Amino acid sequence: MNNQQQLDYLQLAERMAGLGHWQLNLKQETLYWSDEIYAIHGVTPQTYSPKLNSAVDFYHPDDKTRVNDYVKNAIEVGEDFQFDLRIVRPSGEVRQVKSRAQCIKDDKGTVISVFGIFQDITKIKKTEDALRKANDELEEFTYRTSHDLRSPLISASKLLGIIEEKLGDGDVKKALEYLSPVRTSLDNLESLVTDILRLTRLNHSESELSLVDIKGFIDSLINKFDYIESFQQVEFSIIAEFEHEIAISKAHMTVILENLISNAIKYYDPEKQENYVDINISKIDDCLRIRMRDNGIGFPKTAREKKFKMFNRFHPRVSTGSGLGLYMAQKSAFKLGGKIEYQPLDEGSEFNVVLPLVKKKQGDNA
Amino acid sequence: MSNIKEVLLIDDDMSDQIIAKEAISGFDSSIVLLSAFDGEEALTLLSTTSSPDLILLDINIPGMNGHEFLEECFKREWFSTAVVMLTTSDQQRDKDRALQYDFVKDYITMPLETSLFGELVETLV
Repeated sequence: MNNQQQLDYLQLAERMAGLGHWQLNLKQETLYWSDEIYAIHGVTPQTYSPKLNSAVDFYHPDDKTRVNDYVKNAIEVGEDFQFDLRIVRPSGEVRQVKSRAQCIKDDKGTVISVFGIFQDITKIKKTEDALRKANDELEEFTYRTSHDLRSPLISASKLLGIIEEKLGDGDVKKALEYLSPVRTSLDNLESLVTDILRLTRLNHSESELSLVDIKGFIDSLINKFDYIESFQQVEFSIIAEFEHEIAISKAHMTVILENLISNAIKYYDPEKQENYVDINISKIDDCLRIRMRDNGIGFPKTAREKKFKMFNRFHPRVSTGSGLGLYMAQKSAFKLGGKIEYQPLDEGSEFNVVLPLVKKKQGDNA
Repeated sequence: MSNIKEVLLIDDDMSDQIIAKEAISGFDSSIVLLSAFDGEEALTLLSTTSSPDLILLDINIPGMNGHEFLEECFKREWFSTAVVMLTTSDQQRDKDRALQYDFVKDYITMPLETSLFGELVETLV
């Protein structure tokens, strides 16, 4: 292999690895960049000629001082360095980069040049961040489930002991009175276990698409909740400005809409004479938007920012759900590439479900 | 008889309310047990009508959780009531977070028993 071929392969290897090399020659006061380093910085040899000072200027303002310190130490005392910092391309795009440098010295120990490699690690960092986030969430999930699963069991068991004592004392009235909270504790436990299983399935479910008539779909979901005590108190109206069938994951759509609809029924405002939920289906910028407005009790102001987080409950005395409903709904919306937004109203709540409309491939009917 | 005349329990679980009521009345039937189902309700009670001698606080309550309730109490200069955590969580991080406040006197795990409440009252005196 001749020199040119070797250079060509080195260049190809650098491009494939997203990694470049550089050399700072202290005698000639020159800075050399390989092609990949230009590419990582978002410049070309035609638009930029590397100089030590201006090269440092590519770094994020918060990182510049550290880079200057590393370079200064390398040149003055021959200290090798390694760092993960950020650069800002001329387009404004921020990239995460890893830099490693080694000082080359002459026989007397004087630094004559610094050689380094430079890698774009933006993708790796993003994956690391996502993993860290998933890990934190898993830790929180384990902590909360271990607590929330034990809690109703401990209460029910203790209360059954008290009921036994009451029966022993002949206080049947009290014993019967205390049975109802035992049932509530166990019902809570059941709903929590059901939601945890749903959540586990949700994490593993594929977003298989099927054609869905959204208005009809919502209609059928609403009627599933006729067992909730307050169902008859709430008037639903659906306006569909967008009436086409859309290709969407029915499983995720169900999680989103079931949670929003059942919440609107459970958290109606018993103080009001008329309780309504207005649903509007429209298409905005290639997205499906389902807007749900209700005049229910809404969220307490202090707790609004927690509404999509897991294991958060907001309304004592009304219902003791698992605190996972809105978290699951938002997770499903994210899985579909969309989101759920919340808007407090003077009286009630507004939720906007925004989902990108996916074009269905021919012959891909579920 | 104890110095504790009035206890406020902050917990939205009906079973826990009954268990606490039974435990406390088993120790001293003259103690009045007040209930708040969440932190906001408790703060309203405390800032208006009620001045209990002791607050029993669960962590897992709707709206602001027990820890956030403690933060809110800490912000209020007038707040000086003794708080005892009563929760199913035996996690060290929950204990550390709660016990950092001077007004949090103890951390006990559910369920509340008459004997446990008795010991608690002794230590508070």
